[in-house]
Order: sequence, then structure tokens, then C-alpha cells
Amino acid sequence: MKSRHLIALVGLVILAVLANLLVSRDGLLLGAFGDLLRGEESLGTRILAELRFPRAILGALVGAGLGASGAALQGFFRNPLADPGIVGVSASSGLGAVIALYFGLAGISLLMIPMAAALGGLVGVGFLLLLAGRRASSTTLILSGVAVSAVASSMTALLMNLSPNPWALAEIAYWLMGSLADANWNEVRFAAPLILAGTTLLVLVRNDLDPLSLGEETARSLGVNLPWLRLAIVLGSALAVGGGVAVAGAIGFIGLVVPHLLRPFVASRPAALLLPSALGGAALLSLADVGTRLLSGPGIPLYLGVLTALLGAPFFVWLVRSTQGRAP
Amino acid sequence: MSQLELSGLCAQYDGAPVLHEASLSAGAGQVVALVGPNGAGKSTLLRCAGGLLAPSQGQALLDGQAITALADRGRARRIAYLAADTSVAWSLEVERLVALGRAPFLQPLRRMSTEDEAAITSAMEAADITHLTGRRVDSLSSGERARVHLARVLATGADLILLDEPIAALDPRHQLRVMEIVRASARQGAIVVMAIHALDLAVRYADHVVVMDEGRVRAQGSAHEALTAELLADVFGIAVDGGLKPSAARLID
Repeated sequence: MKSRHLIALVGLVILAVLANLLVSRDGLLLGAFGDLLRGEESLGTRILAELRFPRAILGALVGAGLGASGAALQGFFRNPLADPGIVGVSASSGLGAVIALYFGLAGISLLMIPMAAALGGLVGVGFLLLLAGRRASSTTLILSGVAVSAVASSMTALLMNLSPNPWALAEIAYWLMGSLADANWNEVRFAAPLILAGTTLLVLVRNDLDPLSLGEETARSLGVNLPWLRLAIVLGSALAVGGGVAVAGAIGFIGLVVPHLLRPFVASRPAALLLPSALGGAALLSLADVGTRLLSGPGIPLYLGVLTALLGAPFFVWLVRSTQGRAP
Repeated sequence: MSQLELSGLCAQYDGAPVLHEASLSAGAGQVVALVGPNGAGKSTLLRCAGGLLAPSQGQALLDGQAITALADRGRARRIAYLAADTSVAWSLEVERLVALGRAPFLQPLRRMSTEDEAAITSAMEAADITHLTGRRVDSLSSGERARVHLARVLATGADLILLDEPIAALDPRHQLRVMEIVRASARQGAIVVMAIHALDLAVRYADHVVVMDEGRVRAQGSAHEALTAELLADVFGIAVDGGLKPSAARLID
């Protein structure tokens, strides 16, 4: 990526995160930010410190994890349609959270839901690796991911079916729509290490994605240790995405769309796409979170996962149409 | 001086034997042609020689060391491999694809060294693709693309170069150009082992011809020793009136 593009992207991330920090429907927080800088305390500064800062940080982190893992998975599978959902992490993390909600574990501690989601993601990945075996090809891995997703989704549906009352069902349904509205510092402390560890792992192995453009056998002939790379990609994605799902719920399309958008700027090199996709994901998710606040009506919150899907799906249709018949 | 020794190699896919007791030795500067009908075991032999497939019996040695015992990156620096399937997943730029030949030398989080850059430049010159710099591989003709992949293989600067049908689907002129590049890299000290269907080109360019059929080496030696009329009839089911002659085609500027 050319340095001016990179600078523009970093600038965009900063603007998006600032917007996520300060934009609200009543414009109250701009003044509060001034108070905060002057060291004065007010209701606004407390909202900023306790709610908005963790929300802005989580938004950027969750987006970065989704973007990086989308780029890594597309590179690994040599397929522009791969996204974090494909290895089954999103669905199994979701199932973990739904189990915690169903059994009312949130009453024990607010961190029970993220912990259950992270555990669910980990179990899902373990199941995936067992199912696919050590020498699995990309195709086997994709099929195993689809299988893990199917099992997790069916279990989630079963628990929703068995919900004792409409409120319990609504709680699960809302959680699955994805939101950062309840972000707090505990969630940041919980999710940040997971997402950062996963993203770092993906960044470290990214150079092996370029030889993989020539197929698995040629990549091996160029010194790529495929079983290790597969493990690093799956675990890295599980941490980067699972950490995000744990605190924000399932948020689709970021991991799919962002690498697509940025691919032309890195001359289609899968290794070079990873960091820009992390930045792009951070910017896009932060802006989407701003959008949920501006578009929410009184008493009717617009959920983040719903907004990203609403924006992402038509955009993806356009992308598919515009890249038809060309190598990506 | 490098030396490749394959002795008594047997290999199988999913329990089905595809290679029986194949042996072959080649030294630096030699071009070895593997000929034989489809399914004869040529690709399998190349994979064993490249350390990509562990033989079930027998040994593959490069300078006395077992190839499967070499570490991944160390092996990749010494052995370059061009698969028959040269599809590229992304719309990469030509020089980026050639640069992949230097992947075994890259250090994590570091940029390419000047040595890497020099190897890429000279490989692109050797394959005569310098003018394609900046082009996307999916916009090239098959002939251009074949030379780009060959440049990727040359950029590694490997002691052993394994090519699986590098001239399949090329026009006569491009076939000759590729063979000339192959010959030149052997002159620089590499061992080249290639699977090839064009017998007249094998006769002309190879120092050593290995005739394979149904997983076995049927004959090997100089082209005249190996490609006898009986063997041509038996292995390929063809008769060549007046005997097999080297290709007489030459490049015109």
C-alpha cells in the first residue's frame, strides 16, 4: 500500500473513532469533551469516561479484529467470499453467549456472557480442527466450518425455541443482533487482549499468504508449513473474532466487505491486505456504530449487527456485480 | 556441485501405488527429461524429488542429504518447483509473482534484501519478461504467463529445479523460448528435472532422458539409448518413421 493511502486510512480511523466518541443526537458530548480537556467534571464528562470511551475503543477493536480476520481467511482460502463466519467462530461464540443467557448466568456476573461466548468460540474451533484433521485441504476446512456453524446455529435455534417466556427469547434475539450500546471498561479489559492477540498472530503469519496464491502445493515448495499456517489462521481468527462476538454479538459483513474494498490498494497481495483491513474494519465499524445512534428512534434502538447487514448486503451485491468475470 | 540421487523410490496416494522402484541420478548442469504417457508417474517423481511427497520406500537425496529431512525453508531455498497447475488466486502484478520465488529467504516483518531484488531482476531478464513489469498476471497470454512462472522459479536461485510440463499448451515459439531458458539455467549450474511431452524437444535439450510408464522407469540414458523404436511403440503406442529426431526449429528474432 502506498504511504499516502495508508496515511489516509489512519486518518479515517482517527476521525471515525472520534466521531464514535463524540457524536450523539443531542450534541451534548462535544461540550463535554471540552470540559474533559479543561479538567472540569460534568454529567457529560462522566458519560464520556464511563460509557463512550470504552464504546469507542471496543468499536475500533472489534472492527479491526473482523477486518484482519476477513483478510487472513480470504487469503488463506484464496477466495474473496471467505469471511469470519466461515470457520464457524461467529456461530459457536454466539451459541456460547446464548447458553449463558438461557441459563441466566448473566445474573451471576456481567462478564459471564462474554466469557461464555469466548469459550463457545474456542470449543467451536477445537471441534473444527478435530473434524478437519491435521492434513485438511482448504475445501475440507471450509466444509468443517460450515458443519460447525450448522451445529451451533441449530443449538441456538433450539435454545430460543425452548425459551420459557417471550422476554427470555427477546433477550437472546437482541443479543444476537449485535450491539455496543452496553460497552464498559470491564468488557474492554476482557476483549482487548483476545482481539489483540488474535490480530497479532494473523499479522505475524501474513507473509505466508502470498505464496499460497499459487496453490497449496507450490506454497509448500516455497517453504510454507501449511499445518502450522492453518492452525495460526484458525486460532488467530477465533481470538480476533471470538473476542469481538463476546462483547458485541454477531456483526456481519465487516470481515467480508473491508478486504474487498481495500484489495485494489495493495495490488491484490493477500499479505499486504492484512493491516489495512484491520484499520479499515476499525473505521467502518466505528462509523456504523455512530450510525446506530443517529438512526435510533426514541425507545427503538437500531442494532449494530442489523445496520452492518443492511449496509453490507446491498454493497456486497454491487461488489459481486462489478467484479464479475475478473480475477479479484 | 550439486548431486541428485533418487534410488528405489516407491510412492502411493491413498494406498494406491503410483511409483515403483524409480531411480535416477543427475548432477549440476544437467537437464533431465521425464517422458511418458499421462499417469506414468512423472509428477509423482517430481513431488518426491521436491520433498512434497514422502516416498513409502527408497531414498531421495540431494548432496547426500535426505530431501524429506530438510527443514521447510532450507529445502525451499535449494529446490524450486513449478507445478503443472499454474493458476493464481489473485490478480497479482508480474514482479510480485516473480518475487514469490524469494519467499524462502524473507525474514518475518523485514523488507526484501538487495540480494532478493537482484535475483528478481536477473530472473526477469533471463525469462525475458522485464517489459511485463506492472502488468497483472491474469491479463497475460499463456506464453507470457509460462515465462513469468519460470522467472519465479529462477528467482529462487535453487540448486535443483523441478518443472512439471512447463511447455504444455504453448505455441512452438514459446516452447522453444522456455526450453532455451531452461537450458541456460542448467548452464549456470542448476540440476533441471522436467516432465515433458514434446519428445523432439526432449531429444534436443535434455542430457538425460527417463522414460516412464505405469509408475516404473522403463529406460533411461541419452535420448538415443532411452527412446528406442521398441520402447516408443510399447510405451507410447507410436511409430516414428526414420527414428526420433531432435526438433529442428529455431527462434527468429
